[in-house]
Amino acid sequence: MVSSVPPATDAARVDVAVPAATEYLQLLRLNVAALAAASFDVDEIEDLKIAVEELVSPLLSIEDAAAELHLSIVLDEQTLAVTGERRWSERRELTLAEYVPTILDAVVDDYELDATDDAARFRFEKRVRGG
Amino acid sequence: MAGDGIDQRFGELARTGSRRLRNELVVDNQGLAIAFARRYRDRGVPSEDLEQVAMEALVRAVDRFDPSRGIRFSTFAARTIEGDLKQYFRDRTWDVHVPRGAKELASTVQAAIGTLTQRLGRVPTPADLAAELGVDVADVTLALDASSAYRSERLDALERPVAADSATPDFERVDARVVAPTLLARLPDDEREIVELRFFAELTQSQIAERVGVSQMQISRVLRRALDRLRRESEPL
Repeated sequence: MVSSVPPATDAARVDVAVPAATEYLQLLRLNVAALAAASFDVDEIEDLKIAVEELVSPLLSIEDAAAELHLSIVLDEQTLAVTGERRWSERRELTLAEYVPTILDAVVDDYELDATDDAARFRFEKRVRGG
Repeated sequence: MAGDGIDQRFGELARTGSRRLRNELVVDNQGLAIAFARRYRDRGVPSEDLEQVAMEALVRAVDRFDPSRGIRFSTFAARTIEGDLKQYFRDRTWDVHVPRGAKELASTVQAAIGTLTQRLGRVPTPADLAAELGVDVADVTLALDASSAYRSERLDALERPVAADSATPDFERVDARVVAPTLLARLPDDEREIVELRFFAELTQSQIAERVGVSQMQISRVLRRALDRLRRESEPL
């Protein structure tokens, strides 16, 4: 039996790992903006940067000097998807401020934030307007 | 004294809404505001301006304090005052991390956004801007980010309310209706107007810019400032 081969795609991908500290927020924001630069207009890129700030911030709010934040940014023809993960040794409370869902609903098409025993993760997607 | 039965006084304020009591609480705690304002002297801003910012923050702290949260008023007020003073300085300076080249390119990019929006009939991408200006897309990306880091001014255009002559925000979602008053009440007038138009009426930054008569980048700065403020005030004490 021959294993199936994933179809070739034109997706572009950037993976970033940084210390889980607010000083690196701008770097993460810029990575997302840079990958989106060819497909999204300046309004949409501002939205993406807002989503990064609102979803990364909760993951940076837990103090742990050794922690890393991994961000994966994937752009295909019509959609930019960003996933973030911060691993931890014990599960913590992770909540979005009450206003944040309203902000995220306005700036991205889909998002989720999840805490498990081993990590906190988020994901969001934004489609090109009219795409 | 500020510490005498202060929780009871805030309880009474919550029950009665007494303007006299509110004023007394502000006066009793104004020493805190002045002390924080003095910490920021000699940084090129008149002392009276700093005291004004600190006093406005104190009034906001009095209005928002909830003794049932188990936090001392002095802690809550100190955080609010210091946060507003820091924000005041950030509003008037470039972010120190912004490279010089990006600052210089930012104003050129800002002009090109307007030109290209007219010519293309749509909001340009950074790639469009790079091609127009003959620079690298990465430089445009940095310049756009640098521009939103320059937080110079309140929007004079919003000294008058814009909601009266603009579309009424469409509060279709139940969640939005519930959250909106809480969210918006925390913001100064100019920031509240822009937040309302972007996140509740769901206009784009460019559409808001056109309606208000300022640049998209100015709208970006105001939104960033407002979201910074909301994030700061939502952090657990």
